[in-house]
Amino acid sequence: MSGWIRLVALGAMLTLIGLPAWAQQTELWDRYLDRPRGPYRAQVVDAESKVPLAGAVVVVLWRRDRVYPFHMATENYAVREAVTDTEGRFVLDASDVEEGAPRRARRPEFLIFFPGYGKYPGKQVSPKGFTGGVFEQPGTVVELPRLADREDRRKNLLSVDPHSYSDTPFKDLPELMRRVNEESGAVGISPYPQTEKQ
Amino acid sequence: MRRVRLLLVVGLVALSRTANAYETPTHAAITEAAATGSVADQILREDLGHNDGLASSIDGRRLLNWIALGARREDDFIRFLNHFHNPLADWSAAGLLGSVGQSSILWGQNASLSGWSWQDVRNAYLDALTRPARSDREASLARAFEGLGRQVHLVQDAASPAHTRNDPHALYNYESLVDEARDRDETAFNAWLAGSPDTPGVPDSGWQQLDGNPLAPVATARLIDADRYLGGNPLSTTAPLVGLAEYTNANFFSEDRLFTENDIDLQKRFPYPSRSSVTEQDFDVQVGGSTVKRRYFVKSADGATGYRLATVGLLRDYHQRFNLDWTRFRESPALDEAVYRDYAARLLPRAVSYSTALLDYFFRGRVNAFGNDLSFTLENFTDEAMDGTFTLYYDDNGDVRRPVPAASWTRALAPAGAVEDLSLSPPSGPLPKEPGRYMLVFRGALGSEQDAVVGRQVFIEPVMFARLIKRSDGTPHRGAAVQAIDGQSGEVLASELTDQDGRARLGWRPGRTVLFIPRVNVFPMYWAGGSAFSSTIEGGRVIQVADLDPQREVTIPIPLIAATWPERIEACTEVQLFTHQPNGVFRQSVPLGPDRLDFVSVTYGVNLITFIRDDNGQETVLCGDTSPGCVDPRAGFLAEDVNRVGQIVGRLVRDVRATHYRQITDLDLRPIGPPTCLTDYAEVEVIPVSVAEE
Repeated sequence: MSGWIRLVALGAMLTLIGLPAWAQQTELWDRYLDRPRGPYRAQVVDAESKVPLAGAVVVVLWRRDRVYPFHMATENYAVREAVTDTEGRFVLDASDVEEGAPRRARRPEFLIFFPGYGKYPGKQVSPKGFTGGVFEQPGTVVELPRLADREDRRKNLLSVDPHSYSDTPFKDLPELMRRVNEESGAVGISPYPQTEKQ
Repeated sequence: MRRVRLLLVVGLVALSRTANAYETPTHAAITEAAATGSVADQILREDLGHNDGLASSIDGRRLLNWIALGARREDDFIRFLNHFHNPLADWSAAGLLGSVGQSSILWGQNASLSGWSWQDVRNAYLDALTRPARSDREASLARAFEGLGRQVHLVQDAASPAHTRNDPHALYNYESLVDEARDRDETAFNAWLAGSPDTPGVPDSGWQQLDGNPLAPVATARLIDADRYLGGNPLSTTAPLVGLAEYTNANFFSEDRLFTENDIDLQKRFPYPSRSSVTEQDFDVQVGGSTVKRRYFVKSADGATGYRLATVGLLRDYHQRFNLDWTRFRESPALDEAVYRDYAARLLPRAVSYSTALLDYFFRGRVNAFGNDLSFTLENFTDEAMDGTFTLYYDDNGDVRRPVPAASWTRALAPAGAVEDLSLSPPSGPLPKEPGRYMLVFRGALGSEQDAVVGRQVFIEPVMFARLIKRSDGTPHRGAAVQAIDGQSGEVLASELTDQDGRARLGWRPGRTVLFIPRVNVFPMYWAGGSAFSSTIEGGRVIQVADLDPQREVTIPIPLIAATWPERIEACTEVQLFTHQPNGVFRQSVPLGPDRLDFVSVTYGVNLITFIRDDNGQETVLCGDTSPGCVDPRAGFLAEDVNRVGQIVGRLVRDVRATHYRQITDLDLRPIGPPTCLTDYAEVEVIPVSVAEE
């Protein structure tokens, strides 16, 4: 076997070794979508009064890792939104997304936004700590704190970047954009202009 | 053939290994934290007139989104090869595996290849301040913010051990854990972002004064590599003045660079952390729902200390018992989740603070201008010298930004220095949208940075002089009130009294201002050009720059107008028959000899006096029987009457009365004989009133 063939073989071997291992993640948590995990559901309530928050927007984002030479890039794969009902509950059946998910698609990320309240994730009173998988189980209650201070509301709002979920948020996430612009007006900053071609 | 082999090998090896920086959502989060903690928001609001600051929307995204987008996009395919920097190598060979990619420092300043170099971002910022079309300016500002996101991405990668230890690492890694925390454990992630670096005050601002490296002369290079850590002095990496890559390289491991101080491969050999840097210690960890002991190497010397640096090698039965991923938990030292979390608690605060430092550096230039356009001062509000060109721009009514003619100055200003007594001619064509409002743009050397760009919206008050002279003799009209009024809004812009030379200095808005002279002639006058005047603001002349002489002065000949009308003399008393005095009295005694006086007494009364204009029938009541006095008939004049000298403009309608009495008296005013006359008069009469000039 010539020298260069040996090198090619070495590279191929490293490739074979490396690829399956990407599926292995933290000790407690597998970030990848090994099977459909939905439907996703929870109840959203006011952290203080425990009153259900009807009309809160829930955004569910699936990302995927794409492998390039020397590099693995994270890309958005799919996004959905739901709105909580009068009891503050949402159920999002994502089987259409997850059954056809590509390799190295990650388990989804969640955003819950309601004007005047701290967002999930980051501002919620509960659940706290490691939250992987909480929306895959029944009985999860998300407690959002009301933000009284205008500056807190402004910061909370600015931490929501609709374009990190979709390049065309007005098309893909109309409820989120409606709520975000509603909150923009309330805290005195310009709303997102609808510049997307529908 | 040799080239084909090389490509094959590199390609296959590449597929087997990844070189993740912080994952792109993590970069976005770090960048947003840095941006909101920087001066960018303040500069946007206070200096550039973007009232929403980082929340300003451009092309559907907020500027905060644009900078985060840049941080994400910098990891696009092939660019990431240039995101490594080995601080112990010469910068020309400090990139990935020495030469596979360019050092991130050089990449960040590579104007010919990067497309998003520091210089490119500066140029985009200049365009954002100066491009004629508003849409182009906004697009350029978005591009500048995207570029800043890409610049801070490179800084953040210097807080990723693999990127400073030449390690195109494979499999699950430190960055994976950080991104997991961003999504699933944001309490921890936010605490890392908001945490204080383990050395207070990093980066010490002295990085801006370090000697530049000709390979990457912009000082921001020193945020990544300050050339303080040379491989044998790890303690230097805990000083406030140190490059981020130096700190990371000397104090942390990456997945395939653990205890490589003696590695035979020079690309892998890093002197620290070394075996001398650690002690061993057991910690409780949760694995599969159980609490177990795991032994770690704890960093205890040679720089930063007090955290888990790596696991001591795990035994095979431990692997099997907990079914651990063998690619991560080796029998040799390895990096586990607890190690990564300890790393993140130290590296992410630095990633944020160094990113913030870069943004603050970009926006550090502050300039201002104050005064009026006849004499204003440019001031350097930074503690660095400025040597370059200051140019004023204005926006016209179509939001087209234009340079102000002859308003560009090349000057060298010392730190906090100023240049005084500059002047400019207000732009006259097209007119500015907001007179006096300019964008002051500096381009030049700011400290050690060449081609820096600084912008600030400034207000330089336009001023003019109105000189009032008497039309009759050309002498100054002193102490007269003059007002400059915005002809569109009616706003009073300035109100001044003329000085000894008849001049009043007025703030004004070129192309929008009319002059109002309220009291010289009792009746209000708007100057209508020449010696014409108008009674309405609409008839006033809108003053243009061209109306002013080189001293910014306009001369206004003011006619001093009087009203005249005929009066009769009473035959007996030889005194005016009627006067405009509601309760007037006239007394006169003329000696007729040593013991006699010729005494005259007249009392006047008014029931009503009205002035009625001929042209429009407008009535002005001058006085009635209870009035303390009578108003001059000029109160019924109009400004247009000033050029009708000698003409009748209206009539007085008078209902008046008088008693004329004449008597010879002694010296004590006792009558001697009968009165010469005692006559009561009461008449209603109409008398023409003419315009006269004093």
